[in-house]
Amino acid sequence: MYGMQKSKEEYMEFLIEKYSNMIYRLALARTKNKEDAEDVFQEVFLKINKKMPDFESEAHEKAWIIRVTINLSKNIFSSSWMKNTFPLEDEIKFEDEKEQEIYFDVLALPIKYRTVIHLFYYEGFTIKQIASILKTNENTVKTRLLRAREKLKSRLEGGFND
Amino acid sequence: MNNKELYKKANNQISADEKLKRKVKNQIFENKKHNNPMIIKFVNVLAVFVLIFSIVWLYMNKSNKQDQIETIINPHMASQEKSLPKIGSKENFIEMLIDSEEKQDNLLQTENLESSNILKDFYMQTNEQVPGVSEADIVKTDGNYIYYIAEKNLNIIKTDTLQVIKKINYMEMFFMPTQMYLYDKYLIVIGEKIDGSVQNSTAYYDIAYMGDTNIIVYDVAEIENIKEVRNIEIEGYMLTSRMVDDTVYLIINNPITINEQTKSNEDMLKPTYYDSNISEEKLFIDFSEISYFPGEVEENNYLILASFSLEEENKLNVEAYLGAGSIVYASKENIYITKPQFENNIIKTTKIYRFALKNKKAIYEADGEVPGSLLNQFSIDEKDGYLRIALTKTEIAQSEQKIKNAVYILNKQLNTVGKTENITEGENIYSVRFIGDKGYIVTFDQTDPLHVIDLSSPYAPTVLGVLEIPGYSTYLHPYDENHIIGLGQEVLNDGEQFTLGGIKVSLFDISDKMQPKEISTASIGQRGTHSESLYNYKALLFSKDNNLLAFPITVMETINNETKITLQGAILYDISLENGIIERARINIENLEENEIIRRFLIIKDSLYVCTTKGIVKLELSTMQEVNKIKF
Repeated sequence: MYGMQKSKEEYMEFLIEKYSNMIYRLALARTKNKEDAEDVFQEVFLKINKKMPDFESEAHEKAWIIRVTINLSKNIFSSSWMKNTFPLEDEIKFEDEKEQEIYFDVLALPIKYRTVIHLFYYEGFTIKQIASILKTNENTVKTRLLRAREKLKSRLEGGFND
Repeated sequence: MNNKELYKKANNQISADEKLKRKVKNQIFENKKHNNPMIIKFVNVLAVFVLIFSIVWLYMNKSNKQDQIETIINPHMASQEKSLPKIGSKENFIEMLIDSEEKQDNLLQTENLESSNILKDFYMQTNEQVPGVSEADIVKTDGNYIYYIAEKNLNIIKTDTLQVIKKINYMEMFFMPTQMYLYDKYLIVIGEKIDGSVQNSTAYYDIAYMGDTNIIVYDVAEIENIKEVRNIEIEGYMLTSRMVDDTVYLIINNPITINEQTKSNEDMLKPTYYDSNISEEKLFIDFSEISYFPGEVEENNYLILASFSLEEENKLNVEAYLGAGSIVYASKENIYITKPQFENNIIKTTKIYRFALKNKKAIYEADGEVPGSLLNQFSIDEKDGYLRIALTKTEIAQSEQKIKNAVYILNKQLNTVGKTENITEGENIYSVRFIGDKGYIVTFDQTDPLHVIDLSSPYAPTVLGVLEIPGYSTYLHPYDENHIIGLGQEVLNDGEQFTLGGIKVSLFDISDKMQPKEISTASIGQRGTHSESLYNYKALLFSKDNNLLAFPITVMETINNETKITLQGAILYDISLENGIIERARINIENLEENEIIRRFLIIKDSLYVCTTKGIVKLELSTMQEVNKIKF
């Protein structure tokens, strides 16, 4: 079985090193809050550790982890009573102003749109794969992607009319 | 750049920080170790406190400084997180398939080449650490000609007749050649620029003299008419170099002289270089181009990484850093430069810098630190993106020195992910070799323990077996996947004390990792016997196809209470699993001139070429009979 040549602990270490950034980036795109993203991050690994599914392949492993990340970031009621009230814009600084703008434009989209944008453009999944990750059909994904693009276009054009 | 790319780039700058990863690891691994539910509860309560504390801490530390560090570090971390390339189009896909088929064919061909020793063009030269990473040496061959730096001259010798085709004397050029590379039709001679003032003084002959680095590239396509095609000079002395594919990488230390004169003239403080491909002028590296490692600016030294390609028209690429290097290891993907950090005259830690080899340049990507000191370049090895390092920690407790050895495993960011610290105490490391997912370490106090370390999991290296034998190896060379050859010093025990003997060769069977065995040994000479190969792996020749191990040697023996040199030459062993190590021949060069010693061996077709400081002797491999010889 894929991944099982390692001991459980080694395998967890391996997954943490391999997927940390992927999970954190997706969680941040969904929750728009650093503390929440960190909570999701921890929950995801605790869940993997508890379940320890037998992944058939690397693709299966990645898709499963993405789905868990999405599920766990669905209804985040921040349990932390010291929730950070700083807007994310003040916490994350990018190298380039344009990157800053496009990143926060994507984050300004409704959650279901920004999720497909992230999976499609950042993670490079196909529409078919996204449909299977989100347990929905391809047409829904296509529609969301289209809407998301339209919204981005209007925002970007409105914002940067030269 | 389109929005899609910008979104990607922005995301690449975000990363889960190490603290967060550590936290989740602690949660997962701590829970498992403590099965007592009360302890778990306690740990959880503690974790909540730690969490609250760290949130408060984070909250209070939200300063610009943190943001700055993140933006500096993250692009490097993100660079390893690149998503997989896409096929793109059908045409590409087909092309890729054809390409991979071709590669497979090529692979098969090279396999054939390696396993056959009757191939006409077969030749064997510099003993190198990493396959595919060339190391410079004093002798190189393309099978037809031998290029050999001897007596500070470059000699080009025809292999079949041993005729000297050309001899270049560099005395007039203020140049001292030290080593070479051979790439296709190019001969790259690396050496030191000799200051006119020392040219005729003893410093010229002093190896310790470190002049600026000078490289001359020759086109040797027409051997009768070799042409100088490029000249490069870099201020500073060369630490080492490597060649990967068509690119030569040079690592140079350039000490900075700070005095009233240089302070008043900015240009005198800047590192300089010259490349005949760029201009006839000496070029300065501007301060705006020089990088430094934050928090380590104590060095009055520039570390220069320069590279140039032999395949295409190109300019010398030069990167300057404020810093210094000592032991260097290179894989096909990365160059690692280490720097010992002293504290109370003891090497407390070793800094490691990783430079990725991309687009014919060495680009800084990460740095890290391990405790203790390293022995040599064999103390470091890279496999599957992980770096394995054998190190020695010296601690002073109650004015007593304590020595401990360990193996650390680092990831691409050069963070330690695994380690094993229980190798030995009180013994120094004498040799190290990492082969596949095993590491072999020889330590020595009175006997020689060979330690086998399992590295199959980067997170949990473990010591498997230990073999204790008299003597110690200073160099380990892989024989095959289950055997290694050790070259070292014999140690004798007369019941009361240990004394050094001659030189010893061992063949170790490591197929049972828990119980390594010494299956054959041979020793030669007595106390005082010496070989350059003990500490210079380039002077040793091992050819599995020819069952041959050869190294230069000066044998000392005491006969009738008189200690004298009984052999000045080389020793050749027949080495095989069936028969072990058997002496095949001793080469005692007749009419050996004073100070003439053997430096290197080459195998070309069915001949062995013995390169001495003053000439070359050609022997027939099968009989070891002298065929021909030449004096320069």
